[in-house]
Amino acid sequence: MDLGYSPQDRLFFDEVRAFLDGTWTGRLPKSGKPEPDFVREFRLLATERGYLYRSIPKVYGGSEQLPDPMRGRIIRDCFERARAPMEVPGAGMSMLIPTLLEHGSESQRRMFIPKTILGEYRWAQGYSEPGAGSDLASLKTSGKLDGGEWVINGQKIWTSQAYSATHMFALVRTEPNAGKHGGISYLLLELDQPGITIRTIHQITGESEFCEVFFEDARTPADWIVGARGGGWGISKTTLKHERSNIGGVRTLGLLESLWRLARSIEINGRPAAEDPVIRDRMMTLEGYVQAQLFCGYYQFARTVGGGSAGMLPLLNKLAGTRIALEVAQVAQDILGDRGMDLPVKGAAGKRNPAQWLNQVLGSLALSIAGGASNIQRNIIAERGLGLPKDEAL
Amino acid sequence: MHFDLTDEQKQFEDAVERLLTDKLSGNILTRDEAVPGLAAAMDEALKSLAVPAILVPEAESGLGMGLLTLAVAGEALGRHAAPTSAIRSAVGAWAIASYGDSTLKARWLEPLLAGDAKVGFAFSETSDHWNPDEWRASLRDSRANKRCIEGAADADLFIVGVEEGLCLVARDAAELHASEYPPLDTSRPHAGAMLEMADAKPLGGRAAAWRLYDALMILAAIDAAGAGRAALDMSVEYAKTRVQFGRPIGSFQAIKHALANMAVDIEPVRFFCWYAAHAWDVSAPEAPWSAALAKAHATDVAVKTARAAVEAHGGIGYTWEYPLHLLLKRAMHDRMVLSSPTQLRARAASLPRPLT
Repeated sequence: MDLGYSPQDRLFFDEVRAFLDGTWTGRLPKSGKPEPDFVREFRLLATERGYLYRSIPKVYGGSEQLPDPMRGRIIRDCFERARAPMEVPGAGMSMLIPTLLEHGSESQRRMFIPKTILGEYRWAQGYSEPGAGSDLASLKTSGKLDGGEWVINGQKIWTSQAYSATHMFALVRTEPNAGKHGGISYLLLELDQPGITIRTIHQITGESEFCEVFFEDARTPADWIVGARGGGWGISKTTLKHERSNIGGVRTLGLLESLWRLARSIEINGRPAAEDPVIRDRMMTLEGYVQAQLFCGYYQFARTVGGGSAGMLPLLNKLAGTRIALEVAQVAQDILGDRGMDLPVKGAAGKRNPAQWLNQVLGSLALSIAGGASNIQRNIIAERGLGLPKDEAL
Repeated sequence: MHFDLTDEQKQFEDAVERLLTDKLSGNILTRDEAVPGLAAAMDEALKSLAVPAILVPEAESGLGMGLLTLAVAGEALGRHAAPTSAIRSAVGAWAIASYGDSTLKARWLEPLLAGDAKVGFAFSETSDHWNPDEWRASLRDSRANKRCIEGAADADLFIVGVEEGLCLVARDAAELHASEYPPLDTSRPHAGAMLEMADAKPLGGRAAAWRLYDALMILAAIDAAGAGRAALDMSVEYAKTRVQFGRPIGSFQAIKHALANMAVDIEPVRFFCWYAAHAWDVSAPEAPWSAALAKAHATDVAVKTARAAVEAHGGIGYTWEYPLHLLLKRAMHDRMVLSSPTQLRARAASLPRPLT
């Protein structure tokens, strides 16, 4: 058991920090946000040094480093401390690029990866449909080859930030006579075209991050298919082969800390909510769950670094994090009491206490739905983690 | 940064697990009359693995392997609901090696390290009063009345909590009064004692008392974590084999979701306990915070998990002959001793929390 950095780790830590001092912290504008060009330039420099896009080969614009979770962890640690930007966030980096690296053709990789890295191509994920949520493989959006193009008809839904995306990777039924899973292909397409209509969904928070995307004879080149026809289901399951530098649990720690700030800033019966015995007991109960999740994350990280397996633990993280976030929101609601009647809902995300909290109370509910509903995750834990028999109906 | 057991600790874990699987298989512990004999056999077996010497520094003839290593043994004992005095011996030996004078060390250290002497920790005075801040007995008193002392009947010496800190009282100065009822957790019988204080030997002040108390809380936490995980494992095995409606009940979503929720609750708990033990070993400033909160969290979650396990088992889980209730009672015992979760959360809230 050792929670510090080794001497070699420490050297690398110092190297990254010196780089950040010189290229980021020391060159930030005195006031206001850094210009997009400055951020872009910084990312290029950081990539050149091997700090960003580490799993991506140099020919596609990455830094092509050997997998090293400890180095990844140190880089993340230093960048977070300096509040320096890491990889361009989004589904392009987290989902499409790993998929292309594993299943894409050479020309697809050259065409899409470099521009995705630079943030010029922004990707939406076209998976869910109105009739295909948890039962995703029942999707119906169809693709038919017509000359040199796929012609796509149907509808996708819950597409995050489709309104600001340039492209989509989508699961489309191209082989209607093959089986449920075997009829699906993985297609890439441009969103800015006449056959595509994007409509935002008004969420319970008042915000509109998710979209519906309608396809009416939308078109994409015949060779913008990743992998073989009918092979899309397996391809969409491409596991992320990145080095994992994220430690699960760290994020919930931040959430709990902002709840403590709220509890110290609001009074109940003439004293801070943090000193109210009932609120304090519930917050300390949450602390227990957060600490357990945090050190469970440290353990998983240690196993990854050692090249071993953490068994079923990685399957538990999403559900554990969701349950913590829901309880944080519940306690926040009780701390706010009727003050919640005079707080903003819409557009309050990212605001400071206590204005963020009504949004957080509602927004936490999305966690138990997005990226696979919690009840589906429970099936996965039971079947893959605990080894219980599969339900034959699924 | 390496948050994992060392190879040595893992080998030790395997050795303890093998031993317990061998000696406590099936439902042998559900036969009350067999428990004292099994406890004696466990003591002997754990002696052969040098468990009582784990915590004492090498300079004092111990192994100096730290609380985390002792916690590894503790988790395995919880998993099997094993009766033994070995953990108490290890902690008692550490207290005497750390805070005893040369006379006390000469008298007690060797038999404790060898596992030939047994310790009882005499803390609680009245219901819900356990921790060093709550002890009202004093070295000035002629007698101290203590309750709920685990292993009192076999103890050769008592480490007693007093206002001034800790003191040591020998067996012949104690008059035991057994509880009216058989213990809930048959693996850990307890008794009260009226202790004659005339020859009580001081054994460190209040800081020493809290350090000892923290160690015992961490060991109760990991014991509960072990019991809770074992209750989940039993439920999973049962769900795979029990057939109703023509298929294993584990294929029904209702059972799957219940077991998945149990796993999300209990699986991470041991890592918090590891951390609390590690923080204690390196005397981190947040060690008392972690000890109190780990005890509250682990015992709460373990009881919740074990109760859910009884439900997942159906009728068989409600029988005495099936060993699941031993794990539930083990976790309930861990939760009741050394202050309640509510009190411990209140305590932790007043202590320095880890820096993040």
